[in-house]
Amino acid sequence: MSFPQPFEGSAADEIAVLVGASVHPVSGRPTRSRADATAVTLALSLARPMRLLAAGDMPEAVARDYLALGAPRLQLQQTGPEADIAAALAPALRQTRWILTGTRGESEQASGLLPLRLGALLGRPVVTDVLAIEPDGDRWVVTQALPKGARRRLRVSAPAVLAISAAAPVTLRHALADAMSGRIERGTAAGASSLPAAGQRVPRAKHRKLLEARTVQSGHARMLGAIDSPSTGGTVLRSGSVHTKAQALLDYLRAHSLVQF
Amino acid sequence: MKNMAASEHSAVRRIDPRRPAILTPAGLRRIVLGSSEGERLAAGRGASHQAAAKAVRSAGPFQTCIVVATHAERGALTDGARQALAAAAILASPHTEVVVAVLGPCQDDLAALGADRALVLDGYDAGRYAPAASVAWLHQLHAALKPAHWLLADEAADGQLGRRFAIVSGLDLACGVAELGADSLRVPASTHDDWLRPHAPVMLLARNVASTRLPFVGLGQREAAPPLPALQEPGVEDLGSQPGDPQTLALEEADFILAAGNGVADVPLFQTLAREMGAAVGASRVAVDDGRFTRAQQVGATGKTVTASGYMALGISGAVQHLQGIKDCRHVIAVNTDASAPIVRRADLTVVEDSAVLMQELLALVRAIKDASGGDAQPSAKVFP
Repeated sequence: MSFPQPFEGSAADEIAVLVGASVHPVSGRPTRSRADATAVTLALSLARPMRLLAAGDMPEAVARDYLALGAPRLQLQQTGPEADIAAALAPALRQTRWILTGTRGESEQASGLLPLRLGALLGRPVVTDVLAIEPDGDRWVVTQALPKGARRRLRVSAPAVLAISAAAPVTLRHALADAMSGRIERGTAAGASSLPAAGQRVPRAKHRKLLEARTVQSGHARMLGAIDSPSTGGTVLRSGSVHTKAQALLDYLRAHSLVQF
Repeated sequence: MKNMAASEHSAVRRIDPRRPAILTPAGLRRIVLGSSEGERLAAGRGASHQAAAKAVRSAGPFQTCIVVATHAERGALTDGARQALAAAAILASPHTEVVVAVLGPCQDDLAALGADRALVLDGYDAGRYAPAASVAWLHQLHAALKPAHWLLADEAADGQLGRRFAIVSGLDLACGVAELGADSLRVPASTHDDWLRPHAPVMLLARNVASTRLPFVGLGQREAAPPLPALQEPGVEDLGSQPGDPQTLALEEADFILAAGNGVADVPLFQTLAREMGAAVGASRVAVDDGRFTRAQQVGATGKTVTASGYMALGISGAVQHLQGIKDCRHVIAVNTDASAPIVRRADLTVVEDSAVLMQELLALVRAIKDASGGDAQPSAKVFP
């Protein structure tokens, strides 16, 4: 068994994928993050040398879950509980040209800051919500997901940080043989500074308190508000020919730029 | 004479107790005989006690400010941005100005949403990839205004912008704020715990943190925003963007939906119209149960909850279960033969007409417009606005 020590930077053409444990929303147990697993699968599909890198506290079972996707080894940087993960990982990634991470999922508690902080520390562009990667020589053409199903294509030059969206169309595999045979290498982060605590940890109330403006109303006004229907509807077009009605409808759609023509 | 008197006596004059009335600026109900203009009783009474104009939150002078930054969507603020703006107006003291910085054109009444000053960047093109330039723009505003807090919605583009801005400027950031109080906030730490901490310089608000019902208005002064800095994105080249195909898109993601109910018999015509208008297809439960549409297209309590900007309901009466599914839609347009259907109360525009006839007419109009504009009408050639 080797003595834990910081990992060195590796070959320049290697892809580094950063993975982490997330907390399951129902059971509260640590699990692999879906977006991180998607990033690993996407990196494996490029058929290039790659390594998995994790920092912080990751249970063995979660690490094996990532290895089950088909990666041969996972390097685990052990840090303190409140350590700055981005700062702990940055020294090992200085030589790496492509860094892939996951994007924060819907139900996950992560802040989604890791790729951006890493990009700032290493001075690299960060592209978020990546769905697909097509290697195009030294540069990669990546597809970025935008809201409402829109897509954007970007040509990114190395070195860069790509945050992969959990919605990327890949099939996650789980091979027990890979999970068993994969190696987990443990090291310690060199000079990882710790972040100030995010605050005081308190139990959550059952219902969220809504931020509302304080109103001073008379009793009469409040009673009227209680019996008043919340909506009385909008414009109603009864009269006119079919043509004028259709035109009015189309005018409404175009005035609110709901249609593209 | 005698005959006339007899006829007057026999024809009992009846007065409609709910005849239309208009509300004068003084707040009095006024009935114009013979006119069909105006509101019926319930609506008029509702308006009379809301008629009093809201007071201005604070007339200044201001010593400090809170800035809300957002991307406009289709010329309007998103729900998340409205909530962030309301939160800023509620938190602001009388000496604090609420400034809203909007990337993209915006036609909303920003005073009613609580903004005292609006910096609208009309020339912003949302189709271009410009995170570095947007962050630099916020940085300029930060230097000029020196705000006490930045508030952004923790959604798509706004969330990314807030994160990038906080990291570049080195400001402390609280993301995913689930509860906001007068001087503290809560961020989820696990399924049962929260982080409780004081306000941060940059706060990204989760959905439904603040109520947008404000008892006051802002000053709403529009000012010219500084131009977007012409910055290159190092290492990233934009190859253009493409709108989503509404026919293949999941209904939850669609931005404009054409929905059919029991009143739509001509399904091929409906599908053609949806394709021509570039709309996704939805349906009510009745139409799905009849086998006219697939289960994946059902909108409502037992189907999908949609968040489209535009929802056009053809031949849908609007049962409560259906209205639940469209509660987050911004513009609802109803086409129905029954002017007293429940959907009329929800819809922003109701056309009382048979859906088949109106669909024919609308299809002809849309085709005429597309023909007139020529090759410009191809959706794939256009950049997403």
